[in-house]
Amino acid sequence: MSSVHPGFVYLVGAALVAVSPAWARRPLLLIVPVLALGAAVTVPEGVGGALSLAGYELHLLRVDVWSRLFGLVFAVIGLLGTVYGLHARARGPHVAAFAYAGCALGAVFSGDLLSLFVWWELMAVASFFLIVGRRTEAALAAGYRYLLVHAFGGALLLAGIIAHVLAGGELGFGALSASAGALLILAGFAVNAAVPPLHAWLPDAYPEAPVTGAVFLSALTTKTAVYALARGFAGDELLVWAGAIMALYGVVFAMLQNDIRRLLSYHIVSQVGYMVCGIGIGTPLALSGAAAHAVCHILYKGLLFMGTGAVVQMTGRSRLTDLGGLARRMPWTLAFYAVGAFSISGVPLFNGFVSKSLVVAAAEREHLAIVEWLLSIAAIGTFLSVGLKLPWFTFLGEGRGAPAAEPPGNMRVAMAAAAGLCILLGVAPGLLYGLLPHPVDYAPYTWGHVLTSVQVLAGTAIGFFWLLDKLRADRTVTIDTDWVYRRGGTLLMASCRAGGTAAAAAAAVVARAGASLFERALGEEPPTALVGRTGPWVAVSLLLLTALVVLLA
Amino acid sequence: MMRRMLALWATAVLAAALQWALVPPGPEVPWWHAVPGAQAVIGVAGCTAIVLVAKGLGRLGLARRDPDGPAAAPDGVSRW
Repeated sequence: MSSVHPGFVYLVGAALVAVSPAWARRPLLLIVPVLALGAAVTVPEGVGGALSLAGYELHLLRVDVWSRLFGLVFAVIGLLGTVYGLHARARGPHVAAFAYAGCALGAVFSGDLLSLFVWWELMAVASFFLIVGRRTEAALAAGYRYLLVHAFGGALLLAGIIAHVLAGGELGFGALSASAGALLILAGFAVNAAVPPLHAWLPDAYPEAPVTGAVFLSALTTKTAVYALARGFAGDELLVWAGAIMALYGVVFAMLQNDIRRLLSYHIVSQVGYMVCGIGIGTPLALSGAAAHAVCHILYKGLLFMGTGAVVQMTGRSRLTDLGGLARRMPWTLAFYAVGAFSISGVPLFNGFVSKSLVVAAAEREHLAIVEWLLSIAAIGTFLSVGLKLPWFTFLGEGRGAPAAEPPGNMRVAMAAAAGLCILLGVAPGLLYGLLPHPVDYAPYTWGHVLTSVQVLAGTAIGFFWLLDKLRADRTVTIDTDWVYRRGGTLLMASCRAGGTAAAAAAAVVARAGASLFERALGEEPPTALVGRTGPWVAVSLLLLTALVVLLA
Repeated sequence: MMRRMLALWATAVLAAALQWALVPPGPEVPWWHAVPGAQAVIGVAGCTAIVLVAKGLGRLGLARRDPDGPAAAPDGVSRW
């Protein structure tokens, strides 16, 4: 294929933005995402970008209906996110965002597991720089924790790929059969998909990112994992239950949050649960539902992060206990946020209603009543906290004296475009259905479905106002599974200080073991540079894993 | 507040009435979809359950006082 890889457009764009003078930066910031979107639309189906490594054929560009869909929506959110952040003068977050988008596109267009792994790790590094963009102490700490967790996930993925290849599996990225290697790969994907208990990095890191970077973060890492799960593990029953539990876990923890972006972060966990569940069900309707929900989620979650980001940007506050009464001074922001909130809540005529219905209908058709109930209760919790609690205590409740005004024009343009897409896909689901991997034989707009949905939403709103006093946010933070590695990390550091030599020796042994495994997997003439780069990552991750196991035991 | 609650109840009742009038219960439709008004009750009950479970988890120790902002470590252990 002679077409341009959309990911490379972003990577070249990142390099150009990094070296461009200030006057050229804004035009570049607009041109690069438009070109990448054009590349994602026009790149022809097929396999290309072939490389040969140690006798293995690698494919950097595999275009089919799955990669096209994810590539397209990544490119769309890349454009919207860039417009949203156009006013930002700092160069670093723009470069990191472009590199991050380029790596995410590289991952979804990868035709083999090794290319996927390389993009996967580069994506983690690029997103780290996006998270620490504010350069606060909290952002740096969260960024390092994020990087360690993702290095651990990457190590699992690499170990899984090695085991898979050693067992005679293909390096090409397709459906993976049950084996030890596949299980490790699944675990690696689960880290990025934020499947509990491997999810805490997400609500830990995303709220610390700059408001412009959070739009990219909310869209790319978890959805790349959803894409990878759909590719490799469609129909795996484990994912049905993991997804259903995720959906409920996210909404329950979201109820405890005081920080508005952390609240939304827990709802990423919840919404990705719907997708994971759909992938686990594995029927054509469920897979299309998962893909549709990924597309819709990227749009409405990006919009929600834009809306809350505008609040944080204009007020300097992010806690519900410090906010309130902003509707009069930020009416457009409230309107755009409301579109995102209605979409995620599954209100008819908004895109989430269509995509969520596909996943729930797939569960119903497979007679998975418990799963259907869990997903339905999660939907209630989503409307309760994102559709009612957050806007009530941020925009509509009593004011707390926060200085506020509408955000800059570029932020409003991006929010308007995202809101328009949410409504467009909600009123014309055929546009969405046309992009999905399987034909969809489900009509969301029947009297029965619309009327029952309206009843659930009205019932939830009645419950909200009935329990309004209990729903007031408290000035608290929540303990989640990150406590294990926060506490474990502290103990590990203390033990390293006490016996630094022993730890270094253990790291060297583990690094050598990792390198040796890698060499055996790739043949007699290993690419030593690659081993040199990955070995320390493997060592650090395995050391962390060992420490966790010891602590848990 | 009273007017808002009345409007919501009216919406739920109207939707249930329309469901009763327009949607004949199919043979394979589970009861929670077939009985008009059941979904509204599920909405109230689900909302209450989620709030109570979340509050319960908070009281069990999962929610701690925010010392100096949400960015701080929840247990004050480390900032590495």
